[in-house]
Amino acid sequence: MDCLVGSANGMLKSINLVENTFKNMSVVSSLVPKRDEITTLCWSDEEQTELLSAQLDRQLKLFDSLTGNYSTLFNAHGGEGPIKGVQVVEDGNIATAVQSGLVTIWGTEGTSKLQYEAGNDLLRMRVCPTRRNYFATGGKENPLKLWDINTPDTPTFTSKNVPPNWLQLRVPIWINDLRFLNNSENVVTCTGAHQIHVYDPRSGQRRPVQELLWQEEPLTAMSTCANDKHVVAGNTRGEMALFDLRNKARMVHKFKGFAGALRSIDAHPTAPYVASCGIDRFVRVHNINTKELVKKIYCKARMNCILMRRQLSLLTTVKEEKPDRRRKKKSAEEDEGDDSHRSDSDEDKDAIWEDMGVVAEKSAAAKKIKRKVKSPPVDDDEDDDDDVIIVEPKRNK
Amino acid sequence: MEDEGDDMPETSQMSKSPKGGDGVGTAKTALKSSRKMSRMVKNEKGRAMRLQKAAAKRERQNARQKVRETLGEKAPPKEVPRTIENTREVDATMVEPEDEEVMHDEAHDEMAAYFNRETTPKVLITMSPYAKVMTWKFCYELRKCIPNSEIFSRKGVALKKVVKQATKKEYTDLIVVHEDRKKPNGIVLCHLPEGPTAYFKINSLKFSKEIKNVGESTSHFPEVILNNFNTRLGHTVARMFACLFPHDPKFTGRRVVTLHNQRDYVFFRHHRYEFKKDGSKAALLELGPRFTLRLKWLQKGTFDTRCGEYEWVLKRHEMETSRRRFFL
Repeated sequence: MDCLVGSANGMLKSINLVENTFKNMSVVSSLVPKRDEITTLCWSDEEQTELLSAQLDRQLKLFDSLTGNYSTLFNAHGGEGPIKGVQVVEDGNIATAVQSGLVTIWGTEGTSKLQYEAGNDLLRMRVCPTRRNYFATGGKENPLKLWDINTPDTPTFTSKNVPPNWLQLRVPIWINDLRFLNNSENVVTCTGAHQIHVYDPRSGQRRPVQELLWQEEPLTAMSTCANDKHVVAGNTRGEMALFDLRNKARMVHKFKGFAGALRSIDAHPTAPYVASCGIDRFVRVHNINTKELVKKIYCKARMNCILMRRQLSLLTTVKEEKPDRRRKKKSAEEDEGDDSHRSDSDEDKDAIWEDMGVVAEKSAAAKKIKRKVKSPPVDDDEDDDDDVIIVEPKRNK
Repeated sequence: MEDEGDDMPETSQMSKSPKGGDGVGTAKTALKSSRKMSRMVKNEKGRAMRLQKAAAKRERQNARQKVRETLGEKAPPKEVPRTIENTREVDATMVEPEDEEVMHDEAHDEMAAYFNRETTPKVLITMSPYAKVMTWKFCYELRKCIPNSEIFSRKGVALKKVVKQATKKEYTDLIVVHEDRKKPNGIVLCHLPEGPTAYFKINSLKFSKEIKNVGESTSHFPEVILNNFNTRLGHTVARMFACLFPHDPKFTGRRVVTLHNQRDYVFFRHHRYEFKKDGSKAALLELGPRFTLRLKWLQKGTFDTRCGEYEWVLKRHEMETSRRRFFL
């Protein structure tokens, strides 16, 4: 079980990436899409063995991957509209956010403990992964708000809309998805007005610190990935791209292979894999850096949300094939096995390098000779300030 | 080599070749003239070769026929020619006949209301704003072909408003004929309450008057034949087409509308049939328009190209890379 997908007809599917198959966690004939459609998913424990799913009729269900048990917890009543965010906060309590703006903290038995009013048309709520008593909400005409659980009356940070555009028209606020950036409290959001915004609550600036416009279709899903400065986002037309959020925020590259709109993206926290699902009924796994489509699995139903586990069977099989290339964090048992594997190959490699030493020197000498022929010898260590006339093209090392 | 096609090869050749004088050996000129042939000679040679090939093929076929007759059942099976449809790339989304999940999906999708007989089709046909004659002609033909349909001129109303008004007036489907350069070139087919929207491009369009020996249509409810929509996307599109026509066809009217999908092109044909020879063969009389459609995108929800979610978009550079890959 590498990925878990919640589909629009209420089926929870577990996906095995190595065998390219999926397994349904409930019986098809018992589902009624108008009632059972899964709107959000979240892991409910640190080891990622239990999963919380929220349905269209506000039932919260718990899936235990070890026993395969998919049971109902309680009904998250209050407010109107489907549940747009369900997350586990500190002490095992569950936070749910409904479209009408009501955010409720529930105890595990279903007793509501705290409630917040986060404004109408709330489209997403997420909890900060490093600070479990801090969450963010945003929606349509509902600016990004950061809340501390202990102060239910007002948010600790409310964002401000960007200035009107070049036609002096007000830019709509339409936050479709938001994520807390790795190891910080900065929030990155993607909007229906095809923008990606980065907010820094500690900077004192209520407007976004970074803005990036991309294409013309609404961005519907996003995910942070292994690299702190990178973010993956997808839009309604079936385009997904990797974005770099440094000083000059830009798109790095696009991922190909989609036919329809993306509803959810989840990237692995350390490995370069990103899984995505959408209404074209396929789950796709891409390699973030090489942008190649690693896996494409047909799942027969439109999918709403996807979660990828840290323990991917894809990683273990790849490691067995190429032991020297992958350096990943894994569970203890696998680490021991892999370390021994690595040391063996290292010893072999040392032998290889010793043999190759002679050859390397020769080639360096050959290079020097070549350099003399082409241009006056330039010492790469010194600066090229003295040589004014001759400009050499930069050699990549 | 340029062909002169003249009767005197020697003179033409001598005028062309800079070196060849009259005195240089006749062998050389003979060689050159044998290489250079006139067009007529070439044609004759070609025809002779083709006749030879056909004769050889006919011989082989006869030989095979004889072998089949003599051996009877033990004969080797007939060879099947390789076609692009035969060698189509394997598509994971092909629908298996008894797939429970797909059946469940279809039983609960937006068009289920029609298939459960909860609604009867009521079609609204409209066109681009200020459309020209050809588009109106096409709309009249569609109105004659699809029972229970009405034409309204667009008059510059935004499509989203049209969708809203049509839903209020309880139409079940909306057809918008898109026009470009005074000719109809696309159809937006929108299933109404909250149904999917599909955009097709019209490829070849022939009106009834342009078809030879065309017949007059009647108002019986037609039978609908949907051929070859095998993938999941094809299923959705086929259901959208089926939603246009009333449930119960009048078989005595012998009128049939065929939407045949081949290699992602959907051929629309409209016939009256008559069974001959105790039911083994049917004679067809073509009625109505004849056109070809190609699906460009399918959107979940009613028409909203800016903010709506696309279930399938044709991305030419990514999807049209293989000649054996089809999506419907």
